[in-house]
Amino acid sequence: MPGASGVPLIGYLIVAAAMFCIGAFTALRRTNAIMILMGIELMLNAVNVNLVAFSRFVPAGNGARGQVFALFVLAVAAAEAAVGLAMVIIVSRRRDTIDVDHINLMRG
Amino acid sequence: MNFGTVWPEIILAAVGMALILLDVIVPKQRQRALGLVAVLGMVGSGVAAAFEPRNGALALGGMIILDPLSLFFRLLFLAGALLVTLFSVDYIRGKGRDLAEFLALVCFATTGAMILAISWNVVSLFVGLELLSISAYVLAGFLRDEPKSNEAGLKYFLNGALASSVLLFGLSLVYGVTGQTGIPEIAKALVTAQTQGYSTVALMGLGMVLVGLGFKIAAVPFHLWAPDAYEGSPTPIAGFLSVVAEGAGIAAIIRLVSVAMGPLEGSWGVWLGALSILTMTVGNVTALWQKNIKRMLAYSSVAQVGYILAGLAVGTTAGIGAVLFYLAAYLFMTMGAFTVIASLSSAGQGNEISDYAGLGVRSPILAVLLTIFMASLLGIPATAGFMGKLSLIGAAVHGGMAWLAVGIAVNSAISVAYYWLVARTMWLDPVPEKAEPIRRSAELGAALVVTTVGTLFLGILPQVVFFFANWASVGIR
Amino acid sequence: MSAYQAVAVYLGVVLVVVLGITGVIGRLRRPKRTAAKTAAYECGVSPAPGLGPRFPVRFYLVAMLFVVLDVEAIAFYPWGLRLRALGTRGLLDMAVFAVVLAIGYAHVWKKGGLDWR
Repeated sequence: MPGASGVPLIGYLIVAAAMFCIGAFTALRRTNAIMILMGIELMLNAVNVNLVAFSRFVPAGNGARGQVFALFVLAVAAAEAAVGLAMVIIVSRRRDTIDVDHINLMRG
Repeated sequence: MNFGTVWPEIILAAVGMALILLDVIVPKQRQRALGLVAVLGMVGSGVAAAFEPRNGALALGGMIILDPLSLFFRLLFLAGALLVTLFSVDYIRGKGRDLAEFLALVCFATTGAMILAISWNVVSLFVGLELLSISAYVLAGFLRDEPKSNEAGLKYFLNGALASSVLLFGLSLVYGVTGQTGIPEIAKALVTAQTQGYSTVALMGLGMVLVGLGFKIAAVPFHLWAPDAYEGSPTPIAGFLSVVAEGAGIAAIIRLVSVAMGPLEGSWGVWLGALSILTMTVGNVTALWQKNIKRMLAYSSVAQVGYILAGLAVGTTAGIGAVLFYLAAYLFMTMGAFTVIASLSSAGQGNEISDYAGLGVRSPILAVLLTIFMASLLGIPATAGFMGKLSLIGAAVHGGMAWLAVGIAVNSAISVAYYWLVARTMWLDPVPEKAEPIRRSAELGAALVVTTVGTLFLGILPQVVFFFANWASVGIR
Repeated sequence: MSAYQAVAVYLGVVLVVVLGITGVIGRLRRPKRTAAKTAAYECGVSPAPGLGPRFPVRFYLVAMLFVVLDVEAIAFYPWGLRLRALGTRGLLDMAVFAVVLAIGYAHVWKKGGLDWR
């Protein structure tokens, strides 16, 4: 069943899965805290693509739920990003590095 | 929309907001009184919770369920927050940080945990989880001038945010298959989806949800952030993370996994059981060579999560009841142990285990209390931890998973080693030369009394809480 | 394959994948550590002053406050779409939302978060 634009659901899902994987890889692979944060944001946006795409295709009447869910995800992601950036700034001012491999006072 | 049924959450959030407004009105020197505001707010919220319906009524358009389980978790989290408040007043002021902001964040985080525990819809569950998590990230990094606290906050944040996005992706897949966001509707739709062959995607979604929640409760192999977050956080927050944040994760697992996966129940309990054994073993074994007491307690709490997962793996009513009882026991004993640590570090003592040498002479009361809490964490009779483990083992045996009971028993034996190390250091090692006697404040004293009484009460007269826990665990499906 | 077997298989796969990822990542990341890799951008002109010279923190502060207060405004959109259907009750609910935002705003203001000096 194609959407109004003629793109079938699977197209959106592939984009979302690709975004999620790129984000996850970035978050796990990079050591720069800002890059990790960007990876996480990409993963959250993949969730939104998924939700909005699904909301267009699920049985009638239930579509709004996905869109509302996506709005909540957006709002929460913004709060999360702001808190994360604040923490990164504090660490970078104190340590002169935001490389998580070098932020290792505690071990064991 | 009717707000009438979420008064406990509204009250607590309002107190949080009042605190950040009072922060700019009340002068710095007199902010100690704000602790009282927070305590009154939490008590008020608890009283409101007691008057809420508990017959499984739905509220806010079906987003919220008010059943005995909701009541249990609301009171559990409020009790945790209350103890954190009591023992952070001196700690935070001693560190020269803003008490009002701290208490406001504790209120918001607890509100989030409560919303999560009473959710009957994945959207409100997610919002509650994030309100809890985001406040907790800030709390973990609250001591801005201590590099260790910064580091704890950053690591907790990066891991927690990653976990949230994995969990959300899983929820989006579940939504895609079922077209539903309500938890019971999801459970129903999953059964239909199964017959239509969509179940693989749904299972992938549920698997990702489990991974995300596994991160939040620090189950092995997703536990690596926990020791750093606990060691670096302000000590009251280490207690908060281990009781309220992990308790909320357990609540989410009960709500989401037990209910949504209910129709699919079967051998996934075995996998959860394997995860439980892995978690408790890794936690206990790694705790053996820790030198910092907060870090040791972090690994110990990883092990405790393993015990709790055992009850969830059994999945019977008795299993869930045992989990709830264990959470109550865990609240008192862990909070107690962290309170003792906080009162020692307020008095200028370090957090290395070697700093505890001769504590039995320098401050016999604190040493006796820490010994009681350790004995309870270990599971010695007449303490809360013993009754908790006993009920978990009983549930495992009756649920036909006796190997879990063996795992718990073996692990308790392993954990003797590191608890004994602390006890031996306190009682048998010589007193250091320049040791000073330790003073306590009224708030800390109150927190210590509550946690000690709670630990012993649940150990000697467990029936009341047992009854409550079993009542709450009946009919969650 | 019945449903619970599939869940069991899936959980197993999740476990293996996660252990695999953590193992592989640990191995992958070690040898390739150069200054270029840890930079914010891998190619193009490097962002001039780097982390070294201090940037006044108030820029970041304003940016973060903007992100939060700006994005929270999306909560008004669904309400705006259904303004008439939600009626007075919806208006009251959004008023509560606005009051909560205003409290945060007042806190920031009084704490000096908006002072440029």
